[in-house]
Amino acid sequence: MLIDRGFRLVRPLAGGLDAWIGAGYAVEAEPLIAIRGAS
Amino acid sequence: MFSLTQSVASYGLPLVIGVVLLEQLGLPIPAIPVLVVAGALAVDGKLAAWQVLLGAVAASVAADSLWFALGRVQGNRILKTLCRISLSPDSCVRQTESVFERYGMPSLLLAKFIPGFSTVAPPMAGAVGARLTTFLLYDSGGALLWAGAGVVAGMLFHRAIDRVIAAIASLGSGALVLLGAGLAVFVALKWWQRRRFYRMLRMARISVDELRSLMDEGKSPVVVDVRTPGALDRDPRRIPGAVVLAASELDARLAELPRDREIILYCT
Repeated sequence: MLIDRGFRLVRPLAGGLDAWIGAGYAVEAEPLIAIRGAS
Repeated sequence: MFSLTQSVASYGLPLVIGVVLLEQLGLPIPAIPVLVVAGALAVDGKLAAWQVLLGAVAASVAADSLWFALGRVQGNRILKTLCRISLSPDSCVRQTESVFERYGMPSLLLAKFIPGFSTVAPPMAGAVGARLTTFLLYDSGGALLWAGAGVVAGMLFHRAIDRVIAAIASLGSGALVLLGAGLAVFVALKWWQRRRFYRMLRMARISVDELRSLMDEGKSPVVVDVRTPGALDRDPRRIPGAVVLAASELDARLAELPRDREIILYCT
């Protein structure tokens, strides 16, 4: 969708969030309500 | 089709129940033609329409309950597995979540009419923690509408169905071969599209280690979490610094994304 809208530097993350967590990298776990409230 | 009519006439209700059960368990066996033929046979008095309906609904709800239980136990993992074996898996999980979040449990009423969504909706209901009684209520309603549509269509158009069956029978086995060949071409085309899509994705994807390196090097890629709001509620963990932007919000919030920096998208 982004590429259709003219964005050229777009890449999906292989394996998504599961792969990121599986590799042992840190995650944020702030409740989403706080993010929605801030935006 | 001719042999299908003979089979339905010979084996009756057990065949209807078996085919519906296997289809709803996920096997690529189309149950609607069986229900339509059963409806047509009911007009001729060879089957009882209410028994066909009751059997089809019971078989459907039994299979869906199993998927519901798997969804409850395994959560999103079962959705991923199901979407992996579908012919159009690329956006399967996200689209299912979107539909389910938009319409909730009533979406089960029409789920069986939507290819793909039919198999994924019951485990989705389990994964989001729906109550069993609510699930059974909506799922039974959906099964009744779906099976009823097939049986009623067969009853209403039984003369036309008889003519179609007779025409196919007169064409002999060549018609079946032609039908099978058409189906094989369709499946092969979808499989080729899927392979091509995956090959393209493999070339374009970034690995988690590459992303970590980009972040450590200070290249500041924009990481975008495109999960649906429901998926985020179920698992609020995110990659540090990720922008939360569901696909449905994309048009409204496009200006927030820079065009001169690399954008990395991720879901579950």
